[in-house]
Amino acid sequence: MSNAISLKHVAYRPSKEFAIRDLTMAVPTGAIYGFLGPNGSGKTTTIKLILGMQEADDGLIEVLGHQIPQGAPQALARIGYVPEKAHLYASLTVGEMMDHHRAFYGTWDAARAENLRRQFALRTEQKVERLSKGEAGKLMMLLALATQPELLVLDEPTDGLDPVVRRDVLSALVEYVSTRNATVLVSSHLVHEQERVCDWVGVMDDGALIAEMPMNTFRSGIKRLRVSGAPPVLPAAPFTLLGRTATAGTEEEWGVRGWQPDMAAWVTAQGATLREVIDLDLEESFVELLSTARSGGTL
Amino acid sequence: MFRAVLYTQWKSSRPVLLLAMLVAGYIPVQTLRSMPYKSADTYHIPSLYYGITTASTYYQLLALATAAVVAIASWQADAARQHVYALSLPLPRWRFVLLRFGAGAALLGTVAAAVGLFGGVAAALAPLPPMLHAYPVGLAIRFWLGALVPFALIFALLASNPRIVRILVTAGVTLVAVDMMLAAVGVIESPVIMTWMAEAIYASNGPLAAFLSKWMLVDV
Repeated sequence: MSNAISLKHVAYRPSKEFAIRDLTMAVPTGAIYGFLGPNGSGKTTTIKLILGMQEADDGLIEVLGHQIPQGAPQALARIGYVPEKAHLYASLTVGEMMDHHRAFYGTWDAARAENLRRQFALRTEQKVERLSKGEAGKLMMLLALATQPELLVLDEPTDGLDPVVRRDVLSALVEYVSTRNATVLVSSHLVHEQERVCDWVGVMDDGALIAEMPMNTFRSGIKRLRVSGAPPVLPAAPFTLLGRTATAGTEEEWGVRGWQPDMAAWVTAQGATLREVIDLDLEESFVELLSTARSGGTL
Repeated sequence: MFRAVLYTQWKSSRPVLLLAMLVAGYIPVQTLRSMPYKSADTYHIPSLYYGITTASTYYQLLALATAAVVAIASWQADAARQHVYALSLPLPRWRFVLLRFGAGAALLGTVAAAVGLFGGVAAALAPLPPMLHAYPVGLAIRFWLGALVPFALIFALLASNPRIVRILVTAGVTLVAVDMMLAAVGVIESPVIMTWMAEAIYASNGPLAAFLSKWMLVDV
């Protein structure tokens, strides 16, 4: 499987307080890749490195077959980008902003742009500086989709939007991706939203990628076990033990990754009783991973 | 692409450009109207010369002010959004900078055109003494080329990395301050760096040499 985005051992230190460390990441072509992480974990910085807006100190970045930053202009011609904060020219109107954007993209689809403008209820004469946050978000999505990109890079595209606008934006995105088979890298800290649309997931924390896997593996592979009578020291397990928390008496909760039902026998073999296997939703899995990473546990 | 960039810059600097064009129209009209003569046969050479040279200073000030504002306006919209939009466009950075510079130069050209147009109209309506001629086109070209120099300097400064600009400005201000302090306490006779800078800037081949000559609408 080819990768639309590939980062190998990327390092970047934008300030004394924060650094991207040895980041290796791959977004498969055609995937909708959810880029998860708490605020300040390095998602936006990584995206800026991917787009060539900032230059890495070390490592290799390749996007749509182009080395970044050298080949950034060629790659950007095939990328639709929606940044975290509105980046449009305030003095222009919606129509003028569309005309301005069109001038830089030979792939501009005027019919799609017009359809999206109607669908998003944006008026051409509306001034960009007077757009609400939701309208600005919709305009940015319109500009990104109308260039018919092979790769969409969306940085918190629905952050701060009301549910109606969020639904409009996401449905336009899903409609585009389903018809064009485009690759999407979408960063967000809204985990439940990613769960609905993504088929790959990468989790970033403190400048490092702590997990990267297909969404199904992520969703089904992380469980919480309620166990009692387990010895303090355990031998190597057939699953990854993310963390152990004592609850009441001899009872404990284990966060585990790679769990399969037949592994219950291994727990029993340790003299413990497996009381319950709890399925975690994506948000709980995400929190489990983060807390393990922060406590220095094995991922 | 150039049209798109030119349009965004025109929209963001339109009020200032229109004001500059109005001033460009006002300078020659006011200068020639206040001449102490009634017709081409009755004129007072010293007053005429004074009026025209004063207008020259006004043109130079207008060129400096317009250049500064257009240079700032060239980057204002991008700087307000940390250049994110500009950096996400599919073209090399040098090319985008060139487009912005070209658009700024073209907008300065509109004010220069107004200088030439209004100067020409005013000179055509005023009864000029014999042997004196109006040079509106020459004045417009001089205005445009003169304005381009400070525009380029300020544009380059604003296009640079803010950290480098801060370092350069801090170093420059510190050097000048030390120079002036040394001159004030008598260690050196007069500020050396200030004098050197003034000479470098205003030398006949210096960047602002155009501002040393007179920008005459009317000449022999």
